[in-house]
Amino acid sequence: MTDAKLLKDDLAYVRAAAERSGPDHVPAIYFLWASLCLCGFTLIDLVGAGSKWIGIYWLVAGPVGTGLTWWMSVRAGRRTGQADRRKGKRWVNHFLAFFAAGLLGCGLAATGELSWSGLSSLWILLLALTYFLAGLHLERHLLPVAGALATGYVITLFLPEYRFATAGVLVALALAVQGLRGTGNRHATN
Amino acid sequence: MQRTDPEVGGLEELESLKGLLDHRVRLAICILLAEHDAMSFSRLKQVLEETDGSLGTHLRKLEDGGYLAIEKSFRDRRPVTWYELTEPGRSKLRNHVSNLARLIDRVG
Repeated sequence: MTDAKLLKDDLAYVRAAAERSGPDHVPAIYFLWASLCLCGFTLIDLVGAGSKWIGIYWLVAGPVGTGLTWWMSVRAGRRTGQADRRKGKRWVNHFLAFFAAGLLGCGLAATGELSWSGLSSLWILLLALTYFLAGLHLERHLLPVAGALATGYVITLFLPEYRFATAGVLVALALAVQGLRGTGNRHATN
Repeated sequence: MQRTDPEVGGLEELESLKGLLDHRVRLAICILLAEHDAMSFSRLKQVLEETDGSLGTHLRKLEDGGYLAIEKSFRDRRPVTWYELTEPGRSKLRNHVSNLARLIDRVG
């Protein structure tokens, strides 16, 4: 075997190993956020876009969901024998940026530049962008969810009734389907 | 790895590729640990599809060479050995990969 061929084989081996060590897929995280989005989006139709309950819901559900996501990821990492602390920080930064942009967007509604219903749609659009970027950089399973969120955003603009609930169902379904995909491709090793 | 190809022989980069990372399993271990902060012995074995003995030998060589740091913990009362790339290990890997890239550029 020539040197060039050996080198090629070695690189193919390293590449295959790197692909096998792909990101940890934790379906429970997808199901958790599917439930939180379904309830949160539906709440807008139930109590009205300007209700304080929407803010209260997300102020509780957001941090609790983030904490549970962190806990489940660490637990899955210990089980599979792969710790990705730097990647975890990148996830947190991604969604912190979304949260910060969303909070700044509240200024539009507070100053009357945007209706509260418009603000809810804007949050969904920002979430679609965040999921798209996370899908590009961190976990490709999130790309279809970004598509569902973008569709959900359009639904909230044009559907006459139950628009946020409809968007919530769509997003929850996309998250659940992505949660189910890829299950069983990793197993406990320790 | 024996290199005899006249096409690539004699290149400076080829000389610089000799060393611990010359072996594909050791190179793969370091690349995996550069991507993930820490990996257990079992996970490395699963990903690299190596036997316990072979993987253990490669890991020991890398550890002796100062590339890897080891941490032992317990999970369900069973010992788990975690491996991390050290800073010198990371810098040597960076060097090796850039030499490899230069070599590939020249060979085409």
